[in-house]
Amino acid sequence: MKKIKTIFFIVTITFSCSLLETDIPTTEILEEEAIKTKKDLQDLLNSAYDVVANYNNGLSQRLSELLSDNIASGFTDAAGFFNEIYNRNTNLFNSEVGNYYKEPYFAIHRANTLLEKVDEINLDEDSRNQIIAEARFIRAISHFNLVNLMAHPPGFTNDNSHLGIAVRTFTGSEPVTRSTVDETYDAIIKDLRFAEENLPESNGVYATSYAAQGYLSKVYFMEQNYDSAIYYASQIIDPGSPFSLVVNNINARYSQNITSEHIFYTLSTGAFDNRAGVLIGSYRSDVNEPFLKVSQELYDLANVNASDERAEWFEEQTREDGSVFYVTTKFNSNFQNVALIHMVDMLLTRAESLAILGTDLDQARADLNQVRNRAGVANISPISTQEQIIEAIRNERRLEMSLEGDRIMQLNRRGASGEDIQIRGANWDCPGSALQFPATEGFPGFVFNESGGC
Amino acid sequence: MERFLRGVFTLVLLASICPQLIAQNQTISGKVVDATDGTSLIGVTIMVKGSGQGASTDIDGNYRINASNTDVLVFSYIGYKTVEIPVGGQSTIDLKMESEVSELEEVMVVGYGTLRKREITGSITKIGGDELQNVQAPSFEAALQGKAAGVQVIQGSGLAGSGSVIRIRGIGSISAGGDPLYVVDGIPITQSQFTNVSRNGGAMNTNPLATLNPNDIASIEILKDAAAAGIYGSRGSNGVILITTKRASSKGNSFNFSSKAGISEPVAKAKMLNSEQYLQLYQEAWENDGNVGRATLPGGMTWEEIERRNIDTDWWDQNVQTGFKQEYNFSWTRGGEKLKTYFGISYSDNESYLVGNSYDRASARLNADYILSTQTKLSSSLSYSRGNNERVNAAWSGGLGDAMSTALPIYPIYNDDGTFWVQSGVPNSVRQRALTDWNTVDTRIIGNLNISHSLPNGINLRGGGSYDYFKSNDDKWEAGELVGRNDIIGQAYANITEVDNYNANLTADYTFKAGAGNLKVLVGSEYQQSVRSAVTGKGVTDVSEQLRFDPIVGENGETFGGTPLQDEVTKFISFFSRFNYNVRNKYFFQATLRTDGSSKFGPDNRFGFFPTVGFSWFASEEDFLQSVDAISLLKFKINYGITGNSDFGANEFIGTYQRQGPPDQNGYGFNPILYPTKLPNPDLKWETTSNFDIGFEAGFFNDRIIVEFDYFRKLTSDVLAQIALPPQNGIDNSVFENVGEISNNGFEVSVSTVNISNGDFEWATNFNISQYKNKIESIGNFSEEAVSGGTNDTRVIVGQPVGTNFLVRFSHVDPQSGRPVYLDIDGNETFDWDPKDRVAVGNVLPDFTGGITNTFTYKSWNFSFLFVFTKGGDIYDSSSKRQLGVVTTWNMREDIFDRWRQPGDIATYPRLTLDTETYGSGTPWINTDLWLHDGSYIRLRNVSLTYNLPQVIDLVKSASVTFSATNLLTFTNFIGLDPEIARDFEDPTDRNMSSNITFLTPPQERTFNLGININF
Repeated sequence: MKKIKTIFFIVTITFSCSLLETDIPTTEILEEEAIKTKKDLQDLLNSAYDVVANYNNGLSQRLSELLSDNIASGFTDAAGFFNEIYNRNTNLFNSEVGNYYKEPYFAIHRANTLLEKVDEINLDEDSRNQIIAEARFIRAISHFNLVNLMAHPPGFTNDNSHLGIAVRTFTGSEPVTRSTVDETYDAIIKDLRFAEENLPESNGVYATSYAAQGYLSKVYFMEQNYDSAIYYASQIIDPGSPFSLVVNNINARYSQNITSEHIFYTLSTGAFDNRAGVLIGSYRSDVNEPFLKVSQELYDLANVNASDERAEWFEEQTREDGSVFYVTTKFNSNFQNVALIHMVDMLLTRAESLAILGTDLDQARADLNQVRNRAGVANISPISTQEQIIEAIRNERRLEMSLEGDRIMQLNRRGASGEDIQIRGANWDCPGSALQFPATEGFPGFVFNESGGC
Repeated sequence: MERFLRGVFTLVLLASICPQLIAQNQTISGKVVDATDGTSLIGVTIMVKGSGQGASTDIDGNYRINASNTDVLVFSYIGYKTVEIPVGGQSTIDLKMESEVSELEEVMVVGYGTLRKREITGSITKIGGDELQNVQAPSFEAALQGKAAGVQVIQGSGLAGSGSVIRIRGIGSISAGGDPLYVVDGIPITQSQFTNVSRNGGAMNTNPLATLNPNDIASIEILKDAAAAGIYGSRGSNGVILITTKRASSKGNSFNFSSKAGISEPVAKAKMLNSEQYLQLYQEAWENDGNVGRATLPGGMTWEEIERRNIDTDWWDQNVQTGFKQEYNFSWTRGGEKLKTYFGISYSDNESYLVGNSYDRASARLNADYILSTQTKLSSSLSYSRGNNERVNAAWSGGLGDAMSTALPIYPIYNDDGTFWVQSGVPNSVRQRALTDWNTVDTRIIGNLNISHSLPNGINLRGGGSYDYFKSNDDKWEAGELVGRNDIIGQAYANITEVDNYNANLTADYTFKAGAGNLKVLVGSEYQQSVRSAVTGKGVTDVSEQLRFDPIVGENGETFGGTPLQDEVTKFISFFSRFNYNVRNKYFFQATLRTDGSSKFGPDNRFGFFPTVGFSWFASEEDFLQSVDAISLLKFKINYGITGNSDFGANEFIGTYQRQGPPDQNGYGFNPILYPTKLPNPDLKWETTSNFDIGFEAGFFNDRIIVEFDYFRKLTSDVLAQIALPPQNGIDNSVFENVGEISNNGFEVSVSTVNISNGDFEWATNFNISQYKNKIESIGNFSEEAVSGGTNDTRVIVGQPVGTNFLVRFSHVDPQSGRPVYLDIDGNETFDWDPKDRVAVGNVLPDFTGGITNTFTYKSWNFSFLFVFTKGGDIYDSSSKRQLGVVTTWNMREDIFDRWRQPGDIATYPRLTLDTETYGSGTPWINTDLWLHDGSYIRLRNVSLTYNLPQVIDLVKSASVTFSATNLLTFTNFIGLDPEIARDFEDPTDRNMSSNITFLTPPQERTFNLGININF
């Protein structure tokens, strides 16, 4: 039998190999021929930025806000997936979570592809380090985005041994199990540190050392490592950096422009792309009744202070049947850029960190006042107490960064620090407050989140 | 061996000659050979008629016998016609014996040649063309239902021209095609429903096979096991359906004309609520939720408006008609000295019961055979057919699907002023139909040319080429107002698919004596190339309706938005051989070897080797059974072999990237982007199935009763699965992987009996039943979620069959609250529905399937009826979770009357509610086993009554009139419309795993037909 088989093989292979050549699809590039030059690497990197822009077009922010206290109940949701998120009982088949969840991993996969291919291309040392730094930056911020939604925050357990996310550092198809939150944050910080050291100070629309510092500040802030949060925020705020708050324009960040307060952002050109598509699609209020309406609490917050210009960000609207709802005007535009690291965030992060530590309340007040003054709100009392400052900063933060996906992170951080945080009637740390992973992630050994209980 | 046989023959010879010596008669000698191939026949019995004296032929076919001049010699041999020859002074009598046309000598097409049925060691079922033509079916393959053991046919929906699902001996695939290979006159043809780029558009399983004209088919051979299908190597695992078209066989001219006319109606009508019932139940849900006053109705309707206009629309009736069917066939068969031709033309127009839906087919065929010389023969076939499918939306796409879902009885069709009632987000299927033009035209040409030449040394050479051209032109036009754009007249879409499929093959066969028997050797090689190209496009017109009929190409040849898709090229090369060894027409051995190389396989697995062996033994020819009169036939067979399945897409093994960017495309930050789109898998290869078959065939009382039995075991390894990688892999495209193993073990029985044969009256029965156990033995390291059945809730679960219903268990309705109670994974009762609690609760594969045909003949009358049956197998009524679940914008079924209304009620369905949380879930569509039903049924598939007219004029050789009906009766416990379900499939995985999932699937049609058939 073996002999016959051998004869068959010899005959076949001799006569027919040439007939079976693969016809390569012309619209696609074969894997082994795709990355051959520096330009190819740059285009690959650019595709990773592209995905970062995609999941920050509102996809991630919307999930985050639905979990918080900024959104009003009673949105029309035939399929019920948003309802599940809002009620914090997502299950394995929540398509909205599924649609979001894969996106940051696209960016991570592309970053890892680049890291694995970079040594196949001849590059000078600086170019090589920068391109690696950018890839690691993208990997870090994508992991960070995921861990904020899919896992409970640092401090949920004392040693952060609770489960975080699958940290992916290679491209192979072997799946990896979830790291602990401790390990996840370590991996993120390691990547951001490398990025900080190897990225240039200016880099067009792409990541800079400042962008890495901004993220480090946010990451440490979430870890309640306030000293480090202050340190990195200061790198951006303090004189010497090119960034500053745009005075007299509360809308600087929500526009088609890039301003001095944009530290890292995703760019919409209006041609073929709209990097804020989901934000606009969910909240835009000047055409139809938007899909997502804001909570009255948030609306009221903008109207506490009569001089607060940010009241214009919210409107009360009335339906034909007389019922009333509240909307935001922040995203009433055909396209706009999305600021991911910006001056307001850095100022308020530093202010709150300082206030919590109680080390420099004057600086905390000054940082806060910068943001308040820009919106036409008077300074906080110079004799305000630590507690009053903290409360003021938090309200400021909620209002300024409303609907941008920040609120739930702050509530979670505060809950993890020991505050009694209730979000729409449920404990901040109820099981379902971390989104459920999609069913397709469930390879043997993967541990899903606990569901319900909120 | 040979010496031993010679010895035996000599002894036999001597023993028979000795008495003759005493009588002093003359000695007659001669040689007996086979009339067709001239090979010597060993062991032919020669008797002197009326005496006990005889002789038999030796190993070279020679004999000697003593007889007188007045004697008559009787030559008899198994499988050959007995011949009587008077001696009449001859001393040498040579004889060419002709095969007897008994059932066993019937010629069977077996792939690259023919064999007598007797020689076959595998399992092959032959079905005559007339058996297909008597059954009204949307496509010929549907008519195979119930005719062959082990062949499960699930007919498609009631949509005209839709395809059936065929499974031979179970299902061993997940993502590779599970259907048999279809071979028409030697060419494996384009067959997949996924050939057409429009795929399941309109919720229909498009069907390239529907273009084949059933009336052209002379016979169909279904190759079921390794010994039969092994010659097709890497494509044989799912069985092979060989289709042979009609050819001229006799001399002279003969003509045939046949025609049929009939009507079509649905086998069942959905019991949806009327307006009054709907309003009452909607209000109940409203009040159950704690609301007061009159409910706010869906679709912007008000109670006042409904009352004022007395709206009660029966959307089912708006979509259903009595369809009319007609069919005309004409053929001319001409047999000359050298040239024989068959010419046939046909036209049929089949309206379904859906308003606006039909499939008409026009076809022509010319088959010719020409004898160039005594050694050389030519044969050719050429057919052209054109199927025009007038399309309608169904199921999730609209039409009758809307009537069973979102088209509420409280919605009007028209406004007061006679214009169409339009409401955003709400269907109006009458308007949709009026403002849509949609047809799919399939064109098909199949041609081949073969030349055969016999060399003087007995080697027969045969070469041939075939061409199969398939084009599907799917054109849809929708008025601007329908797509919500008043600025345009309309929008046109086109999907054009073309497949060029070539095949060339060369074979040589030689039959020679080897040892005690004859060895027939076939060697051959085949090359096939299939190129599928496709264009999809969308055009918008604001000036005229020009685009309405050809959206891709405008009046001046300009193109509108047509996007050519990547050509899909498959190349295939094979070398094969078959050895048939026949010892005394009693013992048959067969071996086949095939090597296939395919461009679909990864570079590390370009070629595969597929061997089979088989053996059969005619015990009834043995002496010890010759004397048992009751047993007329007893044959045992056993075979084993390896086959493959390579029915998956081209280029699946390559890894790819894509680059796009400004100025014409989206990039990022004004720069291009380059990104991986698919991971490579250089190890990708065919599925491998090891097949074992053991069986027997027994005939009793002169074959009045014939029983066939087969037991089979199949184990498929390297099962091809389209794996959705966990999202953390960061690549969206799923990949094809060879994972795991699937086993199919079962048996088939078929029994045919002539119950009564009494002069003018005969009653015959054909019965078949088959059973198999299907089990997924392993799925490697992949998760059960990674391989899912399209959008349907069937899963791949180790230890369970393919297509397992994996659902949360519904326990009961809580009598106190009326809320549904589910079981969690540990079996504890809970009000919360969580997919984490899903368990394997059923599967879509049946336990038994089969059919029984009874035929009664009395003088010129023939009456027959076919029952088909399926026992076991679960139906998942996916649409009922919306028709009988949380009250949404769907209409409900009358089954909802059995619901909870007040504390203490014991009911099948929970309390009505508009709030999903009442049912313990955030989403309103909750999959549980409440929607899972037993799929068993018995169906009176076909009834026909034929009267053969007496010959009144010489010109007409014969004529008959037939009345037939299909799907007359169905017996089932299934509460839905139709227990036989092939819903629209998204991809091959869905097709393999989700056959018995219904989602607003239109039921099958019931037809009544009257036909005539005239031969002259």
